[in-house]
Amino acid sequence: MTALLSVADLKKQYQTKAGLLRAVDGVSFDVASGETVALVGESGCGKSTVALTLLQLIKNDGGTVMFDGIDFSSLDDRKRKKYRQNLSIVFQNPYSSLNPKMKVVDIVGEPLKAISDLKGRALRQQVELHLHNVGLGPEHLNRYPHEFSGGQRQRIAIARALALEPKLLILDEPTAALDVSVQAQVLNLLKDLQARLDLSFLFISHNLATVEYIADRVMVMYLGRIVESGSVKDVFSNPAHPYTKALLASIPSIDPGKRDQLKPLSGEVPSPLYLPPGCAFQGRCDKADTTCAAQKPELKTIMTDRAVACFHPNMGEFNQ
Amino acid sequence: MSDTVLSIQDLTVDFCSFERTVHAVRGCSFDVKRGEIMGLVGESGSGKSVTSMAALGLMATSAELSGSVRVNGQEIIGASAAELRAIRGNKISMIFQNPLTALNPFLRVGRQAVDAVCAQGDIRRPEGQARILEAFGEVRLPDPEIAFNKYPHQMSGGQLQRVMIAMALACQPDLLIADEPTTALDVTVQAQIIILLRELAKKVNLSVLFITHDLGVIASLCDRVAVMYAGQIVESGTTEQVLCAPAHPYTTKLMQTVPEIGSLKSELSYIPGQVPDLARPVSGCAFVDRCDMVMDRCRTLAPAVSEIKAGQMVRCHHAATPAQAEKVQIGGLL
Repeated sequence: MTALLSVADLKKQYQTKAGLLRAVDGVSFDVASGETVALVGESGCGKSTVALTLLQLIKNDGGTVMFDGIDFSSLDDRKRKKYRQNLSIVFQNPYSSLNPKMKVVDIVGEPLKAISDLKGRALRQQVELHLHNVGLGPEHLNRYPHEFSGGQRQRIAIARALALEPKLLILDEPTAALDVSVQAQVLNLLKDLQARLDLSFLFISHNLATVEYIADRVMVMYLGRIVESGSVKDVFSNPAHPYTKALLASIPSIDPGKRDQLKPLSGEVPSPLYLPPGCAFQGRCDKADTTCAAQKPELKTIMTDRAVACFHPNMGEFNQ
Repeated sequence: MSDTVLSIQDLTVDFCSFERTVHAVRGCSFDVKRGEIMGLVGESGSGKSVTSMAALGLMATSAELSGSVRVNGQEIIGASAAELRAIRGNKISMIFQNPLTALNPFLRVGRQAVDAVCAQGDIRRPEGQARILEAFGEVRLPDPEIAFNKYPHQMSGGQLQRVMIAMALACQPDLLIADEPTTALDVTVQAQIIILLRELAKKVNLSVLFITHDLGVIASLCDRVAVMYAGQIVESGTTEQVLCAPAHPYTTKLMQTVPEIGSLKSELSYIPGQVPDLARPVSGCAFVDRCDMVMDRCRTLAPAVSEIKAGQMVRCHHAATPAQAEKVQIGGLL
């Protein structure tokens, strides 16, 4: 199976007064057709920057973004417009990503107008169809965003993203701004849409529990680099990188009996401007030694579909 | 010691405007005892923040309050500005959801924290500074002296929230109100703050009213929990009682919506419908449109609070249905 999206050695850096900030530092991954790949990490690790460079909403400084066999990052603006139909994004906060002065019909219809010459009734019908897909009816067409709840607004944002029938949908923390009671509704909708429309998802989140629910594969990012990747089941049940392990141990369980299993990571994320020469995680890691201080660990494959960037990965269960 | 630090009895808060009156809190009662961490959990719009603001007398003038809020026996509702000033900081401190907006960006954090301590009257600045530096150490800010001279934008969210906690605790209050203090933070930092609050509460016998929408945080931090829905407390009890054997259908449903690592659910459940519009009068139970155990009585009669186990209170007509009956120990149910 060839990959739908293939990212190789993606780099984005910012020149600041204090020095060079490497926001994304050599990230490579593939997303196959119909697959959901999750990108997780703390705030500031570069996961949203990856999403925006994929769409070329910000320019990358190195590496390639191949979509369906075409190098997306080298296209000129006119050509890119055509290919961008294949990629779409849903943002985190549906309270700020929808224009409050536009009616739903115009919000969802805008991408259609930009690409095709649909007008009047035909356009309206098309919008109705896309709204129907996300569970909204024709009675919602002439309403404004403020008339909807958070969950419904996120549905509108999803309908807008799907209006051009993209092959890949980038979801940048789509449920972070929602209550848990409606979060599940949006996640179920996404799963359902994926099955019906044969979509691929790049799901960006810091909530590992939602990632486990929706994704097939997961990549853990720390300070601009991927530190571990693999199938969700393997990575979560058997984290190889100390950072992945710490992330999992930081999630409070709803079972009061598991209270003592909460183990916070010590220290803070170091400033990306002053990274130590070796492994970026060394200051917070209890396995760190002189190798970690001197050399940057590369992302190495340790078994089929499983890679980790660590000199001392937790290999306990892999040796059998 | 089991004396009550905060006692809220039958609190109602209405916001009146020309067009309509929103009944944000509709008869809410609970106590926080000394040394106890009490969780208040609910969806957005359930009235949990309004309740906590009322406890500090921080409501806008458009709000109409009734009922009683007592801090160490002293009534807050109707108290004068001078009386409130003596209570705030001294007896109750508050930390907010977003520490970056709660601090003044133009002033060094140390200066702001010392201001807060010195606002309490007879403390002079050098003494205030010493107290703040000590508090910075207690909340484990690395290098308290360096942190003291930083501006808010030079610190991370987790560090700022530590500054807020230090500032609140340096005033040595009886009660700390924490309004979603970890919601804006990463899970790793959230875990650090949870452990820190747990230790501090034990060390200085502090009472905490912890407001959140995250049941995981409740489970890992709180001694008791109250679940709020549409301006009322629908269930309360010890954390074990409420989370392990929820009696209200809303609590049960809320628990089912939380995705848990390792559970590998194929379909997540959610609560259909929306929180009712609190500007309209609620006849019967407020949860009626979203509940799948509705009876005729639920639509017409507002359920009363019943105690189904020692300390576990539920506001539901179903509190004594056959499924629950074996758990019920006390008579007098609806």
